[in-house]
Amino acid sequence: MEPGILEQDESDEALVRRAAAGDRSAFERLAARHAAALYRFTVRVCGGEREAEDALQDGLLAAWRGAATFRGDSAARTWLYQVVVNACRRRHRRRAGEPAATDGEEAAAAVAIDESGPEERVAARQAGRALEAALAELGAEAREVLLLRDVEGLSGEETAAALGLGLAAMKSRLHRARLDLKARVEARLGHAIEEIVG
Amino acid sequence: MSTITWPIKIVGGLSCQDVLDRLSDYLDGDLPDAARASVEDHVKGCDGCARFGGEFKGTVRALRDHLLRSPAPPARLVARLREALDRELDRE
Repeated sequence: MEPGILEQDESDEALVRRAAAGDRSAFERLAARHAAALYRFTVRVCGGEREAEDALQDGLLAAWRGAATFRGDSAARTWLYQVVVNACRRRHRRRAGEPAATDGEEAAAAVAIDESGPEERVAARQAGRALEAALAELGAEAREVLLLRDVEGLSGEETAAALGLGLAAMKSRLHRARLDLKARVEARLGHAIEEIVG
Repeated sequence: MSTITWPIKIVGGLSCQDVLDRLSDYLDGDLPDAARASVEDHVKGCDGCARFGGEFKGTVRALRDHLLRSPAPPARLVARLREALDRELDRE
């Protein structure tokens, strides 16, 4: 079997173990595998592309330095989110005092995408803008939990571990954040986003 | 914060507030079967909770659908990380 095929199939956990032993290429492969999701998360939590790039670089460097501390109690992906969450929080604390609105405005601008399309997509575009703006208005803790659980699809246990919370505390924070997001989206749109429940 | 704006009912052994409190667990599949059935019984008999639950679920679903379409990380991010690792290894 070719070595390349083996490398492609290597688990995240195996890559972390190799990185802990000083294998830089293993770490770069791990980072590349999760870069898109980590970046998507960081842009929303940190506020804007530039800040997200800095925070993500801080976080990934911290992961490289701390690879030997990975115990495997949680999945390597959860551990990566944990490290990046902490990097975002450190940068946020350093920026404390700057107007919070800047975060949201920059984040909303950073994720603006070309959505020109048929007329039937107008409502979806409006809902998307309302969701972006409402998310940006929320506090960092609410954004973190919504992004990890509802957007990135981490399990409840993984989300709690990434945020350093117990499962019950994470669930409580998530529920409040969802209710808050819903209320803010509706205030912006003038109506709710509906789906059949049950 | 969202509040109940419709006439409160007791249906399926649950009040509207009980249902509201359980919506995330219901949506995430974290309720035991009996509790899940109680929520569903309530929703079938309460238009207010049925509407609110649908909006709640729709908002969460729309958030995921919209944000997953985010742009990919810029190519310079990988280059920056490599440079930072170079510096890190030079220091060691």
